[in-house]
Amino acid sequence: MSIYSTGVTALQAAQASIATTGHNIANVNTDGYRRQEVVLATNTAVKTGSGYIGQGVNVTTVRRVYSEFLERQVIQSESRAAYLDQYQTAIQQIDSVLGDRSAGFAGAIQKFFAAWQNLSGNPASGPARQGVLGAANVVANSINSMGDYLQSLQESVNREISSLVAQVNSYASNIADMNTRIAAIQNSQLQPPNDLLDQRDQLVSQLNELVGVTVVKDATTGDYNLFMGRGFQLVVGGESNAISASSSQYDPLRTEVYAAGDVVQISGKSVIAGRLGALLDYREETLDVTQNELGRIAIAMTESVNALHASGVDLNGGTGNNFFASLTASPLALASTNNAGTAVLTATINNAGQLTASDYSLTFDGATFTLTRQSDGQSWSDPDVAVLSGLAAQGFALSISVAPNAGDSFLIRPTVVAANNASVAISDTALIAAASGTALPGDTLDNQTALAITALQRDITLIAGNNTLESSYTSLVHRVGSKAEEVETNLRAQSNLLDQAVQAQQSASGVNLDEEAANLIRYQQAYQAAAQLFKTANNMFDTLLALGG
Amino acid sequence: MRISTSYSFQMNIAAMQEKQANLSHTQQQLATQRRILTPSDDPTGAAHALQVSQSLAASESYAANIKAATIRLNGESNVLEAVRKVLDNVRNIANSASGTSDMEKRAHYATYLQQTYQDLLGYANTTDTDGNYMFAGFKGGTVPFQQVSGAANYQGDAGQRSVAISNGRQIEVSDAGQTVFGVGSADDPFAVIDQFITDLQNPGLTGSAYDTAVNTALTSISNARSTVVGVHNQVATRLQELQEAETVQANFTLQFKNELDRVESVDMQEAAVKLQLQQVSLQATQQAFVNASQLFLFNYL
Repeated sequence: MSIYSTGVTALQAAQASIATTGHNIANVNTDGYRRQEVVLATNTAVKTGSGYIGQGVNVTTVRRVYSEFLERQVIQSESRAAYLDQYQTAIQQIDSVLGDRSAGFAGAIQKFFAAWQNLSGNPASGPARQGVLGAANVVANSINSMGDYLQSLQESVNREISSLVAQVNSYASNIADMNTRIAAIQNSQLQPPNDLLDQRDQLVSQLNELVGVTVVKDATTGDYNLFMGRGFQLVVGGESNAISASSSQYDPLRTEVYAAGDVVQISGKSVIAGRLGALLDYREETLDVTQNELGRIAIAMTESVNALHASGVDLNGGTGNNFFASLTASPLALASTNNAGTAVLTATINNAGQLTASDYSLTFDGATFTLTRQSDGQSWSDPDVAVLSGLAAQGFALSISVAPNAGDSFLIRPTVVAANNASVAISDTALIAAASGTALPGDTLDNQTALAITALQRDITLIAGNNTLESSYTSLVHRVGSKAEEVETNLRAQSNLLDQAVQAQQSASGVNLDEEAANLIRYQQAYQAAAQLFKTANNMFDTLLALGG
Repeated sequence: MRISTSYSFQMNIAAMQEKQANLSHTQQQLATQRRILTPSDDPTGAAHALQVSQSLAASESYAANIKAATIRLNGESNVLEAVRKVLDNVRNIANSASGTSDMEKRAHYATYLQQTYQDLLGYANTTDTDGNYMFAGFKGGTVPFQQVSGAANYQGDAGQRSVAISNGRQIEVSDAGQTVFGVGSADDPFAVIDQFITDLQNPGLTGSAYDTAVNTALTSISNARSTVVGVHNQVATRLQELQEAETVQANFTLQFKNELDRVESVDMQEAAVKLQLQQVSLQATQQAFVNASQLFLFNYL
């Protein structure tokens, strides 16, 4: 009889192996699937007087081929690769529009000064005056449309942050759920639920791409505990902590990431990794800076041309008006929604040449105001906010409506929206003040103010005391281009690393169809051999019966 | 080493995509004939190209100013030459009139000088190619010399216009009538000629008084002529400088254009060869993919 039972174990083992091979073949294209294999062991032998008689085979377990070492390498590489991939996608949108020197600001500002040069040669000429107005409108429009475009990029960053945060929460809660289910199965069956483990690993991998997570496996429960950034717990056992995307305390039009309950902002530079981290870093390092730089150029151009224009005299003999619409009132001074007081802060440009491309924070401790430049942390303090802005000499003056409460804070963005407000203030060519301030009515050939304006093209005091309008723009193009190039280079290197890690992981855990085909033949033969056992046993039984007859 | 079937497909697809992207980049370079498609292709090159294009634009502006200034000063030079000739005529008449007691001849000279006076007035009120009065200072729309009972009254001002012809160099492209014709001085040719006509027509003015009047006219006209010639020489000097500046800016323009070309332009031959290689490479990858995907044990079961 033992031949039958041994045959049954052999058939069962072959069936389990064929079923597992089929499962592997079926999941050859399933993301995150690790190939599985049947672990076989001999049954306990029966002791007889003539020794141990083997009792066949049993299926110990079906296990997935999983190397913790190789999996960890993939996890480490893929978050960085996703970060760089997202950064590259985002920065390309700026890189591709800044550099064109025939269109855009670079070409427009050249034509603007060329038009003033032409006017300086023919100050009374109507067409030359029309040329100046036309070129001025083109340069203002180029700054405007670039400003609008950057603003639309800000809006899409906001939308994308919200969407990514929703995905992060969904993955985190699914992983917590998986932790619970896996623990329940393992406690009751003592066998690993391979496919659920794969699914959980796949969810972790997807979450890791979004925010970069550290996985800590609980040695007793087998739960995955996930940490993001500087120790924020996303998943602990069967619980997940949601994050949220909401408006910044200063700016209702800017989305930041908060821990649940909207209390602690967790989106800061380089706090979060992965795609979400890339978006946040890109916004702060590249998009904000580009907006601020462009705004600074818009302000420097507007205020320097206006100052000279106001010192000149137009064709009607009148003193020059603003040539460009003034941008002195364009700085944003935003109060925190957490402020207990009602103080309204106002920032006004008072020296365009001193402006930086940084934003500033202003805090009040009950007695003293502290102004901090965010780009480098440089700060100034004084009990009087107007004195403070004079002391800091950052190109803007501050004034406050009433005393704030202790602990109130403000965000000052001196140049961020200036580009969106650039425009030409005059439309009558006669109002172009090409003549010197001492010109009398009829002095149509006086070109001294026009000449002075042409000299602005080479004036290196216009921006931070060491840049012309054009060189400042060139620096911006260089800066964005270099960052884009750096990201691209790093992405290429990181993609190679990730490829190697994935290749090693796939080499161990991926399904190879040739191997499965060979296995299929092998297990089929084992099955056929086991079946032969029954035939043999049956023949033996028949022989016995024939002896009896 | 084990190969994951699914991953090897993905790798093949990724390889083809990368080769297609490279091919497309080269195609774009060839289509635009530019090496730098976005600043990230070569940030330093892109920034350099912007700088050079700024210098080029400035240089072209200066070249346009130089051209316009040359045309204008050539016009002024011609008029000043004509003015000098008119003053030479006046001087010749003064020489002829010297010592003449024949009232008929004096009347004849006076008539001739009245015509000369009108010629001079015409030149002084010349308009330039833009329709502005050449010698009105800044008051381009105002007739600068108006005849008020014989003498000419200057309505212009002392304004002298300059334009930029290089970084840091501005050149004067006009001279005020006040300077050219010595308005307000004893050598104002209009006043001198007007007085001379009056003297010639005065039958009571004879002898040494007449000689003195003729000599005064001669001296004053000579002085006026010197002033005009002085201005004319300045104009000639400026024209010479403009000619030199034109060569300099033309050289700059050429140099900047060459530099832009060097930084930005794609080497067409190199790009064409690269395109060919990239096509071959893509085709090879595709072929390898097709071949490899047929190699399956399952095909033989």
